[in-house]
Amino acid sequence: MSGARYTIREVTKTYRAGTPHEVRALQKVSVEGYPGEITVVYGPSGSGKTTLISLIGALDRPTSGTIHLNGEEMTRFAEPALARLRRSQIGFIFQNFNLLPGVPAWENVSQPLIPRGMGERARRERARELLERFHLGHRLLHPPEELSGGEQQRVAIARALVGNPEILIADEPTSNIDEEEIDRLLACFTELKGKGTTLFVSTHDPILRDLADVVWHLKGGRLIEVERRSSASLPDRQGGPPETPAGGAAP
Amino acid sequence: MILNPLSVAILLIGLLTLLLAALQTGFALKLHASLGPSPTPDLRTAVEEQTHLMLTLAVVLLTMRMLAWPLFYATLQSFVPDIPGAMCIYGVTQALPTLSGALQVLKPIGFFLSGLWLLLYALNRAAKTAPLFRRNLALLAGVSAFLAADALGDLFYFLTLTPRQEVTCCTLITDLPTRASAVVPRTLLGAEFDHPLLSLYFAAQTLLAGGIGLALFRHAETSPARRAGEGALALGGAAALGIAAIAFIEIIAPRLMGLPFHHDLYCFIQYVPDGSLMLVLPLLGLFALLWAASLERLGRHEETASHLKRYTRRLWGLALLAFVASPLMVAVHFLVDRWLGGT
Repeated sequence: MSGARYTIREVTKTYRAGTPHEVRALQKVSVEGYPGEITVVYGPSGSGKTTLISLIGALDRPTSGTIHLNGEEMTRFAEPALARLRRSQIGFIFQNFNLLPGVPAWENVSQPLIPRGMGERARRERARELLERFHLGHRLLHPPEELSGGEQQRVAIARALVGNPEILIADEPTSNIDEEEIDRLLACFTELKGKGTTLFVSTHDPILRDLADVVWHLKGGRLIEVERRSSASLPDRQGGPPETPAGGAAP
Repeated sequence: MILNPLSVAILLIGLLTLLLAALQTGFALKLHASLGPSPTPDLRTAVEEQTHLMLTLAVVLLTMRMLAWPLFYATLQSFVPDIPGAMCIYGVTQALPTLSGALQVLKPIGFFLSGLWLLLYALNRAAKTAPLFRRNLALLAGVSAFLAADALGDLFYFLTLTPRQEVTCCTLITDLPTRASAVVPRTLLGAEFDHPLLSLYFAAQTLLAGGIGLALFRHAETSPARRAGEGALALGGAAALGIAAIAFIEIIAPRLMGLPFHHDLYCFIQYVPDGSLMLVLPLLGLFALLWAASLERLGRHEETASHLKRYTRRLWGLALLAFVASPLMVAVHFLVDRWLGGT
């Protein structure tokens, strides 16, 4: 576990546990991840990808098992502490962007800074800086409905990054954008990886698999394979993964 | 029953409080029982989802009781023309003296308990695993039941109070030489106790403010020392409040009202616009000291240690402000009166 940014041990998630309608979305999944690593969660619909990234993103709690983030067991955290964790350490890019309609791009981006008590001028400046980085400096005052799909996604990425998260989670990030936008997205992910951010990408898209250091194959709620790629060639990286593939052995 | 807009408002608030408080008590007890000492993650999530509604209810409930406190006195004031013999709130309270006395004691206790719950709630939220959650639910159930009793008392009082009850004026009771508030200072300080009592009042408030200031600058690190310090400050606060109460009744209120032989605080808050604030501030100061001492006992946990220290300091800061502001207001009034008298 040493040096791992997160460690997932024997995690099971069951919806409507103990009822006839019980759904086992994840079953005894064990994996870990490291700073500066891109992990792609790959699998068909209903395989448990979204459940897994929701658990990593502290949006939900597992039914059993533990999740450690930076050495702290976040499965024991109460909801207010989870909210603080999401606010300070985790960025989330949703599949449908989840931007606030009718609200200018800069305000959408700066929303996560409001609970931190940052003043409006500082928030606007930080949002402008990020949106310019994503070539949206001319769209600061435009609400989501006046932006293209690709532009909306870039706003969503800027919002996820505005709090300098240690972990960035993206759910199917390439499903609503064209090739040019995909190239920009890949460049952004590579840059974040270089800065030590841990990235989780849930996807069907093979192009994102090529970018990954680790690929988790999920099927029917079980982790059937952990494919470690570039990380295996970086054994000397500080806080890097162990030489043998971490956890997640196929059942 | 005496019907006017204020009595209708306090009855409505009392009825709503009673319903909400009964609901809240049951809700909190049910959650407390279902949670158990070591809940599963799924149960914990389910309970946390229900607590959002509970918190909203609690905030509405506490806000209503806080509104009911000043409204209680405003309503009594509005009854003065309806009660034969009454010249101020004191006269009205004599119509049903036991119940009105009890309600006047219950209201500040309700404020104190509500504040304690809110502080424990905030402390629990600040911790990572919410270790005080069950304790918080138990306290909420207790506070809600207490507020329900207070609201029930209000309803009973204002529904049974009738305009036909004849009472005596405050001057016939509070201005007697044998009044209770004069016995203690006369025994301890002699027949001419005005100047010594006033000096004692300012000295007690200054001494207590100094003690709080010292505690703020030299905050004990070890828990037993801190608890001892908090206990000593709370006792000091109670003593300072007691001295302030006697000083207000015997010297400060009569002087500021310009009625040297009238010793009624109900008239004082009527005649001196900021009189209520001068009286409430030392009470708030004592509550802040008691909140700090109670939190040290109820909120102690390894996860809350650093937050507890921060909360204690803030509460002491509030107490310091309250115990300094009230005598300062009194001193300013005395100086202004002297200056106006001189010109």
